[in-house]
Amino acid sequence: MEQFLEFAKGSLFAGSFVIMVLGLARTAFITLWGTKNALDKAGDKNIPYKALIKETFEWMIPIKHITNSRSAISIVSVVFHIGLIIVPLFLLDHILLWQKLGLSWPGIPAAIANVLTITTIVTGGILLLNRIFHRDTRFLSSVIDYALLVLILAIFINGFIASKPFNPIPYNLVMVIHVMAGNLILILVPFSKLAHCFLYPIMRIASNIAWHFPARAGEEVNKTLYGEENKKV
Amino acid sequence: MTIKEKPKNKYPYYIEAPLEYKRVDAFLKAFSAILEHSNYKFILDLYTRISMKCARCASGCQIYQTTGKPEDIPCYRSSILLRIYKRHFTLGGWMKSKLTGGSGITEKDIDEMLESYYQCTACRRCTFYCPMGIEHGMITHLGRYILAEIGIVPKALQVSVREQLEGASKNTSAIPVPALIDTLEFLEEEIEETKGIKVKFPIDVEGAEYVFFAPVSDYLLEADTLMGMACVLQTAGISWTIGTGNYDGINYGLFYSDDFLGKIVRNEIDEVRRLKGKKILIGECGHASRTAKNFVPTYNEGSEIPVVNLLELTLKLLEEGKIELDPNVITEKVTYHDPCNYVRSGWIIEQPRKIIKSFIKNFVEMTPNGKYNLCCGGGGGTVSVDEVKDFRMNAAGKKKADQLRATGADIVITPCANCKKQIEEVIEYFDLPMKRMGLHDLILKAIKLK
Ligand code: SF4
Ligand code: SF4
Repeated sequence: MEQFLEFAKGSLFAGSFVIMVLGLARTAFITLWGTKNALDKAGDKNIPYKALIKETFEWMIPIKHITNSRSAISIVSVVFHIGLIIVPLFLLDHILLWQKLGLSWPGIPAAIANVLTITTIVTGGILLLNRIFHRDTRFLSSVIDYALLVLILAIFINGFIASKPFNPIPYNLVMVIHVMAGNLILILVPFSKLAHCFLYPIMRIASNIAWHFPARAGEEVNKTLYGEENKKV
Repeated sequence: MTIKEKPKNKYPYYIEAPLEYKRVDAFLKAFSAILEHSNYKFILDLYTRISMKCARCASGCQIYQTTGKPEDIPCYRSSILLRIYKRHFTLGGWMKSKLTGGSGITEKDIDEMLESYYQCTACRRCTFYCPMGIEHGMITHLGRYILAEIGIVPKALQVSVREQLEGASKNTSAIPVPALIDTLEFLEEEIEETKGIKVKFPIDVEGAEYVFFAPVSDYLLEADTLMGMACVLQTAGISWTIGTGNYDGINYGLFYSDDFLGKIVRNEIDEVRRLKGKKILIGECGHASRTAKNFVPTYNEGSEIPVVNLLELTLKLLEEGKIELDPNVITEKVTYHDPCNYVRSGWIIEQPRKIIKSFIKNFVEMTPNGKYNLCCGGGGGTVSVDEVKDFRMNAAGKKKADQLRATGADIVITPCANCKKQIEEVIEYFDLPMKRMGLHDLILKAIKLK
């Protein structure tokens, strides 16, 4: 078990990380290439970048937008994300892992990490319940939407109880689950909706660019479909 | 006149003739051609990746708020087309279908899209509620475009566009030039009778600063709006003209076809060129303004023709002191309805309010308002489709009615031809104690003519 744990934390972790980076590089390439192409083709290339960037930031710290709708669940979601971003990156034990990959930055005190872990578990739990019991969210959800949330919760819960005195399960087993699930998430980031953590900054700019049509798109479509530039209405 | 046999399609009122070919194949073919030549592919890629399925957008959509049908949740609406895109146009979707044995697009999907994309008013309100900023209005727009390429278009929209692009009158209401000129003469006489001053509607003046495009239905229905505008422009000494080559600002291309959208915009540009005008002036109309403002730069390919909305111009003239409005004429309680196509981009929100507050003392806001205002319920061209009146009233218009009633106003100002028609019907249908007017209808009453 211990050997496998070392393997999971070592080669497997490094491998998953590489898959994530490559996957994200692919996503980044597709997205940036697509956006650039669209901009090149657009008849009007004026994009209000400043306003869009401002909007993007406003939604990142969505104080202004929380009262818009379903405020409670929005706040829960924001709190959920805080721990979700900070703990994996800045927990001291994780920093050791990152160091193995040659990455290094300062960590956060264990007490803060504990608090953030708990808030993320609690809010994640609420989000899961919301997904199960709120009619609209349930209607939109498919298996993967539940699975990702369960996976994240599993990682946080396992990581949290592993070193605690009240942990009833053998330490190594908990850690194996924790690390393996963590690796799985890394792999899933580029290939699932988790990619939003990476694509979010470009969303609003891209949407705006998409409203900028190529000047002759209509005629070109006609040519492809009907063999001539103009069609009868 | 012969009555055509009713098409045996499930939605007979939507289309002109039954389709004789397999819709599924045709749909995919059209979809792929559109993806190839337009700019939608990359955004569909992005949206399929980051749709979070959180349902936050549900609270932004007044259709959903009224019907409560989960199928009306914006994210679900968009997911129909996104699913088809993913399955048929991405590697991942193809692999998934091989693994899970999932089938592709079906006839049922086409029916569902047709229903769904014409029960969305493309008002774009939901975007403000989505943390990811997904533009469901754009997906609706694209869905309708693809459907139109396989012959599925509400008849009312198609007939209007046909008249505008191929008909003799070149406008959606089929008003011939002599009738237009008669109307303008009548309006001039009317102003002289009521206001005692001769105000002209300049026709075909070369080199004017502004070439004016009204939503053409105004010439039939909105005399007061037009007279108010003419008074403002003449009093301020603005050089403007109506061109007899093309005088219709309506652009239903925005509601179902990028091809026609472009052609109609180009016709506007051509008319401005013919008259050697400098700027395009669009009257009280939301979608006419948005199509010109957003798409003249696109279809004019490079060279610049500024697009100005009438409310912007009137405010400017008011602030420069070139027109004067009597603050004692309008005593009723007045509220203002923001057309979606003015406000979602943040373009025209404060201008009308400044004008209103300058001469109307008893002004109340409706809630929500401005950028967040509720759609009148007739957006996205649905207002022209009489067959869906039931939907426009009971699903899309109901919240509007509640919102209007809550203001307790006597007059609701609606500076958009589509909103005017829809809100008039809402007022009648829900028996609201108010009347709707254009902003320039009130200006007509209050303006001091020199
Ligand atoms: S665009 Fe308007 S009508 Fe359509 S889904 Fe969004 S809020 Fe609803
Ligand atoms: S708010 Fe945005 S991400 Fe959430 S369900 Fe709606 S469209 Fe999807």
